[in-house]
Amino acid sequence: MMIRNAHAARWLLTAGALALAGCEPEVEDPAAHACEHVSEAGTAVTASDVMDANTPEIVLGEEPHTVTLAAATPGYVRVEIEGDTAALLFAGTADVVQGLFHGTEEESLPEPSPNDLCAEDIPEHYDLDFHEAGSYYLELLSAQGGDVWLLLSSAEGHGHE
Amino acid sequence: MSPHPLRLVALVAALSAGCTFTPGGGFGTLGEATFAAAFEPGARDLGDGGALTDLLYRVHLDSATLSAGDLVLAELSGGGGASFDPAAPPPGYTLCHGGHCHSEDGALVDYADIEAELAGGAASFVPVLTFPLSGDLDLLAGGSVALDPVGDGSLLPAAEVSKATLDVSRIRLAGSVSGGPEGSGIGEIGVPLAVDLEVSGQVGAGLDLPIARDEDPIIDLSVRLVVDGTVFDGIDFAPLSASGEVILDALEEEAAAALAAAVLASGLEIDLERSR
Repeated sequence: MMIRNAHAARWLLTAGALALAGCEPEVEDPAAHACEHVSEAGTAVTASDVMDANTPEIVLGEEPHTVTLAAATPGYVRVEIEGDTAALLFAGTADVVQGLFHGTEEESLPEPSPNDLCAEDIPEHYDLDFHEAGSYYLELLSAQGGDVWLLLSSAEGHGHE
Repeated sequence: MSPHPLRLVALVAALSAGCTFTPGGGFGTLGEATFAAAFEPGARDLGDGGALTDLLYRVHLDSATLSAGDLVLAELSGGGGASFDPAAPPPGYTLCHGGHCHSEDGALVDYADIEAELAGGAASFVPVLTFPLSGDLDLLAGGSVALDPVGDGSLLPAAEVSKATLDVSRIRLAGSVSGGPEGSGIGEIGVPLAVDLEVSGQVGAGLDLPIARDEDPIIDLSVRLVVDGTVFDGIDFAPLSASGEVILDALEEEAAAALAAAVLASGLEIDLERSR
């Protein structure tokens, strides 16, 4: 009896050690996730022509948004940030994202690049670092207007080769 | 002589015959190579050669040409083979993926340029393939041209081609500009626009093109220079139109410098196909 219990105990200890030793669930690359969902319209939003508390929101998460823009008129969507956040903005149309504002202060937008996993579907993505909590606004512009597909996600799991 | 030594002599002769290619060449062959240049406004497209700027100006182009020199595919030589792990970017850079890293000022920098920077003055880009493109590139005409390399494209040397550059010496645009910010723009009736800038710059792109014995030897190449609709962004045309037209012909002027920089930032799109 003592010998059987000792074997069981060693087995349990070994299994526990293996579990703790780094069998962490893999985080999906948000770029891959974006490619998987680019054909989905997601939440429909109509951009506002002003930046205020009523500006339609796009939510940082795993779901895409389809934003309707007026022709040749800057449109705005709002992003609520709770704290220091590294995020990725994927856009289904190039040269539509024009600016980023924190409140009324314009923030510099980094240079975009295609989503390498599906560059034709997602020609632009931005690596955004939100350092402060608060309301941010994306400025969007399209000469002909219409819909633009956006997905704003956490940057976790992105970018290492 | 017994059969075995004879077979050995034959084998050595055959191996020797297979190794008599020209030293430095014969690791790859250039197949079909084409080049195209275009103005593609994309999401800023107003139609008929027109583009909407971020300040809501409407720029219509009747003509758009770039004077180009050589298109060069080059490899980094010297510097002891400086490289870095994209998972651990060097100081001044963050988040590396897809062949580029983000610099601290938000710009995208190709791996090849970062490696050259790490190597300091000891490294330089050496041409592997050079395609003369003398003459004007019409950005509105469409179509593509065949590329003919300098030298023998059928005997490419072993190389790690990591960069493509195109020399640009002149930017010429003609058309009109109207619109702008409400209350401070040019108005609906446009004014002529004339751009004639002597520049000394390059458009470029990083690429990953190993030419080696263990790679498919035939290389088909398609290169596109695309100037997009954001090229006029940030330029406030109204103050420049006091004379009834907008003329940008001196790089000392802020608007001219901004336009030249935007054109040279266009980059090159490169498609590669390899075969046996």
